[in-house]
Amino acid sequence: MTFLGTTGFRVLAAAALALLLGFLALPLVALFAETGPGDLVAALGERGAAEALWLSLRTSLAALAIIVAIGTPAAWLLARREFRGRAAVVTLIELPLVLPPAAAGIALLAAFGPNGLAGGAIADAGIELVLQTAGVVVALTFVAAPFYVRGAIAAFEALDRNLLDASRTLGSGEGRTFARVAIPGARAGLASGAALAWGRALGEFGATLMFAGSLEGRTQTAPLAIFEFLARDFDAALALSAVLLVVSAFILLAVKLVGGRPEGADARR
Amino acid sequence: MLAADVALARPGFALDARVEVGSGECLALVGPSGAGKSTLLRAVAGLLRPDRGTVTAGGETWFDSAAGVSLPVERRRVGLVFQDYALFPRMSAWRNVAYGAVGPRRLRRERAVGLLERFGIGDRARARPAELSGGERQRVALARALASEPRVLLLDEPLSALDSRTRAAAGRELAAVLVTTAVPTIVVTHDFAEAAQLGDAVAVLEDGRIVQRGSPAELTAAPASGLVADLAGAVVLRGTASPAAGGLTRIELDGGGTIYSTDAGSGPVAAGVFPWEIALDRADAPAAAGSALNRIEAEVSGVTEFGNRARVGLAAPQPLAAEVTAASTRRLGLRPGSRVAATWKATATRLAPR
Repeated sequence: MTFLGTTGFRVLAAAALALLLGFLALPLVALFAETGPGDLVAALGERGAAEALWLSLRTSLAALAIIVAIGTPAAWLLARREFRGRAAVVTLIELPLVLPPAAAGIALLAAFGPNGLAGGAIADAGIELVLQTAGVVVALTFVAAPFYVRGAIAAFEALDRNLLDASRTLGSGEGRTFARVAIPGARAGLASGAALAWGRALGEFGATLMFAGSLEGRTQTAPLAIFEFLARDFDAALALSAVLLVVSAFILLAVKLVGGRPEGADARR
Repeated sequence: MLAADVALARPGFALDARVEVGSGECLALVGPSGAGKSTLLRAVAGLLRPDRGTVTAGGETWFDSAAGVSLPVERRRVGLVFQDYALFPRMSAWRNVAYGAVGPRRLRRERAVGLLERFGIGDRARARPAELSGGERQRVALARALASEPRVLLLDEPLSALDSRTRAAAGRELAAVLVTTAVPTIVVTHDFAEAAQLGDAVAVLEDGRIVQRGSPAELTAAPASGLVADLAGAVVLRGTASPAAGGLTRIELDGGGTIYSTDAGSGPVAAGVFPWEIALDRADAPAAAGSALNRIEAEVSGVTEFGNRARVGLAAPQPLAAEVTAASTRRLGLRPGSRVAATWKATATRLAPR
């Protein structure tokens, strides 16, 4: 290709990056340009704001714990085993990624609602989900799980097979190999998957609203509270959004730091 | 005692090989890439399940397709040194070694450090694999394999990840360690010299089958196939053999030329001759009435001196190499393009069917 030399292409790519950064960053900057530090603190004093934020943190953390506890071994199995229908299983797990949140909410109602498929069994077990905090956790788990599981599958697939084989020749069964070699080796990928899932759970709106409603103090998470503030107090909505952004950015950063550098980073240096 | 008799077929590849290695014995498995060396090793370790066959070690059956026995890898107790060493990157050297060690925690650490000291890298016990040199990594990998008190020791190209300079020293050290190791050992390599250095016996694997097994000297002296001769360092010339006068065998070389061998043979053969058996003279010199029956005229394609010797590449219909003294190359004025006559005796020509 001669009409676009290396320099020309690099200039184009740099321009594209600048455009992307500008587009992504401007709304974030705007949040803070309109909100002073005092407003942020004041926003938390707004009726329901602090509760909503606290509820968001609790429910998203609970959802994340469930996702990691169940998703990690499941992802390991999907990454290490070849079996018929594996592709179909992976696709099923990824489905919530493309499902519109409102549709996810309806689907959850149809499955776990009082008249849903599994509704009777859940009621018999004495569990209430709809319009309950537990329902929020269910909605968050449903929409956020694929983000973690996908990342975990990719991280496990990228592991050096020889390391796993070496562990087994040294007398460790699959369980110990998983715990001592696979998890540490996939740490960075697992952490970034967890960060994405957590971020998605913190921002979840549609499915939560449909399935759990927006009851202040019980199911009204921060995004739902922002929506409610919007109708009566734009500044409060803006301030709470800014707080949520700060919290989200902090979480993303913290999880990335825990994950550390990817395996083999030393060798590439 | 390790005995493995395994067969497996994959698209475009088949392995059907039987090896026996006594306690304290080291078998070097050589062969070209893709011959199935690593596959055989992995089948013994249990990392790969053969279609059929048996693997027994120390009187214990690890695999028996007929009886439906297949012990999982972690219960076979094999010490496997991987080609790239496969050290756990987030663990220090001693933790790598202690990973497979048996016994209480404190003893495992003592044992790990003791092994590292024995291999001369006790001071590197706390270093991560990324901070170790290639030679140090190789020793950690060997120590790790030995720390688990294996019943069988398997080494997959243990020196190939090293640069040529550390390779020679590491090879000597490894050979010394293997001599003191009491368990059956298989070392895979594609280098015959390495195999001769490390193995008590050498087995050559070709297209998934063991074509010859013997001491390095036996293989060099009487290679069973052209490939074995080639691996053992001989020049291999292809041709068609037929009986000739005086009990000799005449070989019409592919591409032209005739040579003789004292070995019997007929039909397509590989004729092997060692480069140091080939004498060189100027092509225009009168043919000596000596005992060398074979004479091929060729053009020098290259001269590589090492020490007091020189390897002279010869472009004949089939390429040849002669090894002569460095002084001879100067006396004869050999340089690329020189015309020479290569001569050797019929008794130095080994025949193998192909």
